[in-house]
Amino acid sequence: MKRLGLPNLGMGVGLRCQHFSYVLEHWPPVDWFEVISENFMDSQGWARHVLDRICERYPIAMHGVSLSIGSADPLDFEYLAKLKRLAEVTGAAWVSDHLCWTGILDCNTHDLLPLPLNEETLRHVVRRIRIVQDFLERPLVLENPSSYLRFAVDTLQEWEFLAAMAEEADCGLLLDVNNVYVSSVNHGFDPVEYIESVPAERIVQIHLAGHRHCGTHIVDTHDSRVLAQVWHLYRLASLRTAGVSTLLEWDSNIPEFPALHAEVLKARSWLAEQEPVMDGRDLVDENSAILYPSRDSREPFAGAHPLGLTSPEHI
Amino acid sequence: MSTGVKSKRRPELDRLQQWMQAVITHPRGIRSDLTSREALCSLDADINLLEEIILPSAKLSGAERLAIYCRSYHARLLQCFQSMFPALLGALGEKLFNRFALDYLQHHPPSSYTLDRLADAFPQYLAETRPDADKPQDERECWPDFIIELASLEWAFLKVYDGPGIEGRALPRAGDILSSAAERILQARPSPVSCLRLFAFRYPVHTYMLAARRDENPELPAPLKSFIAMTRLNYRVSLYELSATQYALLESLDGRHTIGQILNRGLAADSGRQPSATTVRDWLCDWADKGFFESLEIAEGSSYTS
Repeated sequence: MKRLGLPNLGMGVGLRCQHFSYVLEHWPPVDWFEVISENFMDSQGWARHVLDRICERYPIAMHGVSLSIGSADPLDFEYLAKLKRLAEVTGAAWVSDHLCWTGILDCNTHDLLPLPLNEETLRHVVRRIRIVQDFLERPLVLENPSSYLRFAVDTLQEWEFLAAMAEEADCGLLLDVNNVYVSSVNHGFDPVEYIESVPAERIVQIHLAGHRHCGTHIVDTHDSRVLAQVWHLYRLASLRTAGVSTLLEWDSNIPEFPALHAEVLKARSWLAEQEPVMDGRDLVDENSAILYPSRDSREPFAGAHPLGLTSPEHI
Repeated sequence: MSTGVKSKRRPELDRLQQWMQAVITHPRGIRSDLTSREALCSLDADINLLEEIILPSAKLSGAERLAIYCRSYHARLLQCFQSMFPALLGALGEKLFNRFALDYLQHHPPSSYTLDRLADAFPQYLAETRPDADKPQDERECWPDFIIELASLEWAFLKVYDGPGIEGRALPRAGDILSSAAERILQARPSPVSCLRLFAFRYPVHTYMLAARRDENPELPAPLKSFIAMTRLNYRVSLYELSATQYALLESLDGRHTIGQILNRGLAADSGRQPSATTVRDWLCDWADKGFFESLEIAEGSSYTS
């Protein structure tokens, strides 16, 4: 499997500031870390110090949330220069972001907004990916975001868009199997067809995360364990890719590091086709899992997710 | 290949994005936005029916689906504000705090790739929009000062915490100063570290902020003139109380003038009695150990009479 020549790093977790002290003290046997690029590219404080130390011991990959590859605004080359510099100094295995737009007219909503999926958008995104890859001098890896709406002007399914984009732009894919599941419920498509249609040789990395069912739709909250349906999709994707770097994201209600690490290691059991012993929290019952009624003011929102601030630990 | 969706009028990508952004960032929620001037300006006038742009799902209308993004935008940014200003949140209460934050976001929508700059203009915005902003200074109420000062201190704390620091550098220490006679110290040109911040407040917002961050649920304090130094050492941000004279002296240090020159010139009028050379030396020793100075260059030929 080519994967653009990028390595299988094993089972990793997203590095979050809540775990900085634990990692520095215990150096846990996690295979690799993924870091949110924007949380470190300007930091000259504790966060950056921690990252520098972690890079000495672990492989890392950079995952961004502000590239806005699909925006109609011009690309931000000041941002790209900082991204490139961070990738160089950290020795990041790859740089990823999302197939989305985050704002226009110089605004950044800090949300991963959906694109109209049609030929016009495809041309636009492919052209910009090529520019970014030329600038970064490395392949760009793009993730399928979770989404809550589709446009009337859509003419392509998301997996069709991803396949064409990856081929034409010669970029990598970060397949978030939780996002596939979330969007499949929100839009009513078959998640298995999605997984089977994405070009496996382009998949550099897989994301796992938890979500919440709100009755009328699912929200990608990254605040709980990975649910059984998502693990099944993960196994399917792993079979198609013959094994690929796997990363667990957890951005709200973040557990202690050992619990986080244990969650991603469940992937090994799923890959061995031995479903791990699970408790009720791992299973989705479509009725009992309706945590909040729709339009409830308590509706969880899509993310503390991956936009978490690097909070001060010291005062 | 096809989703089976009927081919509709196709707004260009930029116009579609302008419309969607105008809708989801509007403070009054999605319904009021469908006909908002900003939203309609970004689309052809006859393409203002949301259901012609957003497809419904099996359980939600197009408007309800779009509303998820609207709620998410505001909830996420409010969560960021609350995490950045925990003491201010406690002082104002969630409802009023959110009103201030949302009002600010309407006038200063986020533009940076990083959330770390989200509130760059927030303290200034609070100052400009205080209810008595148009009144002379002596006719203004006190409580807005407390709010503005607390916001300024919390924001400065985040900037110092994540900004440039002096870790790994050799800084002057008290021992370097103690080995010199007091008069000699007056010839020093101390250069403050880049992470040193000085504040003159009308309220003791530093004690309030620290108590709030310890979840002590502090009472709102009475006015009390406070002078504060904030700096970072070994990635730890610390606050130090200063006297008015200490504040005035530190405020005057620029790395170019000697302490003697500064004292001869006279400190700020209300900063109290001019300090003796011995007192200044003691202060410098204390501040050096706290990491206030990048360097302490000693010049020749300066003199000072207290």
